[in-house]
Amino acid sequence: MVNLDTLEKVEVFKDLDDRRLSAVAECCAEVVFQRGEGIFKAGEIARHLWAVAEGKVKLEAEPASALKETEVSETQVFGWPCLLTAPTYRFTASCAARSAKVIRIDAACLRELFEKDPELGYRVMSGLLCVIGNRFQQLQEEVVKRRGQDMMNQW
Amino acid sequence: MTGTDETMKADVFEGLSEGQIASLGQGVEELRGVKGRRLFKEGEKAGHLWIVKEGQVDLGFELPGRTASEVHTLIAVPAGKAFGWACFVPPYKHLLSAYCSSDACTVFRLEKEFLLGCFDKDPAMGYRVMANLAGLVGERFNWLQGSTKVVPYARVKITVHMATCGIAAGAREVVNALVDELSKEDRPHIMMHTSGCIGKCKTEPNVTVQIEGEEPVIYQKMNGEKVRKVFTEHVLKGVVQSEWVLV
Repeated sequence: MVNLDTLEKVEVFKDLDDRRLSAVAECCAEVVFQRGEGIFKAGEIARHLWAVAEGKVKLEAEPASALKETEVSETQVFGWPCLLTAPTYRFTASCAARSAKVIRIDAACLRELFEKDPELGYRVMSGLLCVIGNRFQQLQEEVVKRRGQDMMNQW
Repeated sequence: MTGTDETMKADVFEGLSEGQIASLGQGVEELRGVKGRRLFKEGEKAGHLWIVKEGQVDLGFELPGRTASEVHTLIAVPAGKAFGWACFVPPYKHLLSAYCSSDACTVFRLEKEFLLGCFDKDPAMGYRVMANLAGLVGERFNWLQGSTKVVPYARVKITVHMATCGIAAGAREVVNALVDELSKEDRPHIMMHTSGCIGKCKTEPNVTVQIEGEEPVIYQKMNGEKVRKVFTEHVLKGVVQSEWVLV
């Protein structure tokens, strides 16, 4: 069970009341990782959503990918494919600080809560859309930059 | 406003009841355009969620001093798919421009405020739509992230020449094999067409592969097996299969 004060700071759980936060907390566990320690690997089935409570987490994709690396800081979530229809992690996640405290959230447990309380589902999925959207914008900027460079080279 | 039947076909409304679809139908606005019509421009405020009803819409970035046709496409959106999700994501601005890319296209749009009002009244609808939208953006993220591993961002046009001579020589088998390959994964940048004879009846079935920015390559005497190889090696990896190229 995770402290509600910690949970309410997580970007997708902001503005939830204590009743809903307590329900979400039932799906959570805190895990501590040391620098360089792996959290999950790209290609693994995504069963958990993760949130950084303390420290930093590095996400790395295959070298040929457009967005190769990104960092996730406190209050941010990662591992969002777990709540989508094709739940496979696309990045490899590892601890990028001396130690990182991470909240592991059971995706099946969350989905069950959303079905019982659609307003909770609506709020969390709206937040998650922003998270994925921001990550998409980051990727898009990288792709546009690269493509622009390719075009400049052609000229 | 328009009927709700077509709205129901949109992927973002999957899982909604008929009643929920009907209430969304109240806010639908239909727009028609011809090839090259700009629906919105990058940097503009994003105030609507859009859905392609017919045709195709391209999302791309603009180049200073260039015309609309020179907008560089990042994502092609086919019928039934939504775009303009930036209306729900801060800073609520379009990062890409949207253009009709088929000869004619019809799109629906719904005002963000109207949608949010519906979701507040019916959170179950809000949950489904937001979950579907998150899935859609996630799917596009994966596609864009992986697209650099194959043919980098290039659009591909595959033409199967299907006049009587081509059909007699087995062009249908070729088309079926291509449809099968295309259906394995969402690849909106690859389009397949059929056309008439190119005057090379003896080498039918002929197939032309045209990758954006490269010279077209005509393959001769194709069958299901050969065209699958062309698809996986040339279309996806950029390696021309010289042994079957029509010289």
